[in-house]
Amino acid sequence: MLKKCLKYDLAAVFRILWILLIIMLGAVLAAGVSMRVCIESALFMSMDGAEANPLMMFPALLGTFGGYFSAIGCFIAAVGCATVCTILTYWRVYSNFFTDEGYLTFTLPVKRSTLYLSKVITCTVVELASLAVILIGGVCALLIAIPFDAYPYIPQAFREMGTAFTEMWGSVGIWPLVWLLLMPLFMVANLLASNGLVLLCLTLGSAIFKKGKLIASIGIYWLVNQLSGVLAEIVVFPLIFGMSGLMMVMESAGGFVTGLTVTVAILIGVAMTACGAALLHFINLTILERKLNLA
Amino acid sequence: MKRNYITRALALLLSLMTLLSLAALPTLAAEDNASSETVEDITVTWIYNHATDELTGYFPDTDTTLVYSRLELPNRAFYLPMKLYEYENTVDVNGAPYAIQSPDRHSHLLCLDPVNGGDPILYATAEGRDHALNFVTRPTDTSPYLIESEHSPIYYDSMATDTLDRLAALPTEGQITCTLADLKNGYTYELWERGGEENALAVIAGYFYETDAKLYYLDATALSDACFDREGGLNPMKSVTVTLIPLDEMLTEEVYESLNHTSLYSPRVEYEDDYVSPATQRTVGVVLLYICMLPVGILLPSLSFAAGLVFPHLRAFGKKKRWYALTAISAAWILLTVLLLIIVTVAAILV
Repeated sequence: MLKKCLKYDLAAVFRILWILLIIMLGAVLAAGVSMRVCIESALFMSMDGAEANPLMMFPALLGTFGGYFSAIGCFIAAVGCATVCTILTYWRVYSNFFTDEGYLTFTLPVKRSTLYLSKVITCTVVELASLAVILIGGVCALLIAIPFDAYPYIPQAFREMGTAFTEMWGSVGIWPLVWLLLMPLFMVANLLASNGLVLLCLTLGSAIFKKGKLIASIGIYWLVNQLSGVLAEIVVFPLIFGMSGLMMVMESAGGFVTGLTVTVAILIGVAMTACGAALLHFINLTILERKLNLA
Repeated sequence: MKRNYITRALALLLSLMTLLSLAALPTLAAEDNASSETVEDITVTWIYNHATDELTGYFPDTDTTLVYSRLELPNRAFYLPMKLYEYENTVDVNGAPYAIQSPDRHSHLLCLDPVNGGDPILYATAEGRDHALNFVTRPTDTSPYLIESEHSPIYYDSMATDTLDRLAALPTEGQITCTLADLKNGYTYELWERGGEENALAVIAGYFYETDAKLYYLDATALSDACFDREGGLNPMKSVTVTLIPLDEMLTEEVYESLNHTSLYSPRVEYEDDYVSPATQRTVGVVLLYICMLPVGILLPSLSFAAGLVFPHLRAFGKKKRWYALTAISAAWILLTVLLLIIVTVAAILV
């Protein structure tokens, strides 16, 4: 049943989402083109003798300022699209579970945990899709925006990155590849924890308040964010001290020990985040299964 | 059978991780980080020989002994370090205590700074003496600077390195003569030794003076040592007649241009007693890690571990078995923390 629920959830969300993702990608690429126009116009204006050609100066000035503000506008549009994608996904969860539509949803011959899991997977997939579009679009925009021949230090920057990577490889070996493979795991754990928090706030708002459930949910989310910020500082502060202690020991240890230690530290981060995500989702499920009163 | 694809994916992941671990294990990682320092105390022992006026220093970190004898530089040369390394022990020279400083820890040049005030004394090894005297006679690989007065920490940079050659090639036409007492409000043209913090000498090449709206240059190398006071300034009491050469337009412009670029001379100070041995650093690091990881990596997950064990038995939580997954994740968190502490402790002991 999970496959069926997932199929319909993803189909319903992506019906509108694919348009938003294309607009987001287009906005990011347009930002890159706008920045290129701005940079080329500025370079033209800074050329020797450019001010002697007034016919070209005005378009160059227009290109500089127009390109700059257009890039900002495109960037805002891209961020707006990403926000709308997220809101759309959570709105679907809210309307499916906590509005009158919930009567239909919960009469389906499907366990509430299956329905909930389908929503969690949909939210995670949407967030990953948005991130992927921003990442790919961002890299393409950067490659479009920067005229490589105008800035000689850019190839130099890439060479220095290559040198730094070679030095890291020489000191710790293949471990960076292991870390690279663990990063997606860490990212997914983070996404699960963040959408667990949002869904829990939606559930609490709907379970506690009879009217204005959505407003209440947003208020609870804001409050929880403030409190979790304080809690995170309490947890992160000793972690920073711990890491500085770790650095003192690693300075004299070999590459293998350093690589292994960093790998274990990343895995601790993954376990910590996964534990938080599990706690949030399990509490949410418990409330959905036992406390929600749709009457 | 329904979970076959999950089993396959897990098996594939496990195989991949095993392969990667095989590649990681015999990693030919550079052991540059491995420290060979086992010396706890690096404090240098200084012994002053009154009879020979020599200072002997024993360096326990390199097990070497250096012998320094007094170095007298001509008045127009002086000690100007970019870094001041101050040794922990002081030494008595002729009944007065002196702090010992050098441009670098194993330098061939020492500066004895009187604790109770007074003029510093320079000491150098035989190698340091040869280097210093060669530098004073024929300064090479130097950076030229302008100083407003001999005690000012402010200097003006961006003078071209070939300025000295161009000054030497100036025509003598239009030169003027005057006594040292007539020279006022000039800029000292100094050459500072380049090449890293261990090089700490400077020499005065000449002076620039402005008179009748024109800039003139006085070559300091043509003056005898008696024309200078101990701080490197010109001694106005000496009734010596000097010749000033007028600068050409380009050099004049360069001198005035360099006066727009001000910097402050401020040597970096390092103290021998600030040294912390690698063994102490490692011990402190391990203790710090334990203090911090115990609450974050053991206590905190213990709470979720316990919650995951208790909640499946509570009616309020629906007696659901899913809470055991929280126990499993918390157990993994604790085990990874314990593993990290073991690795770090073993590394600290064995390295």
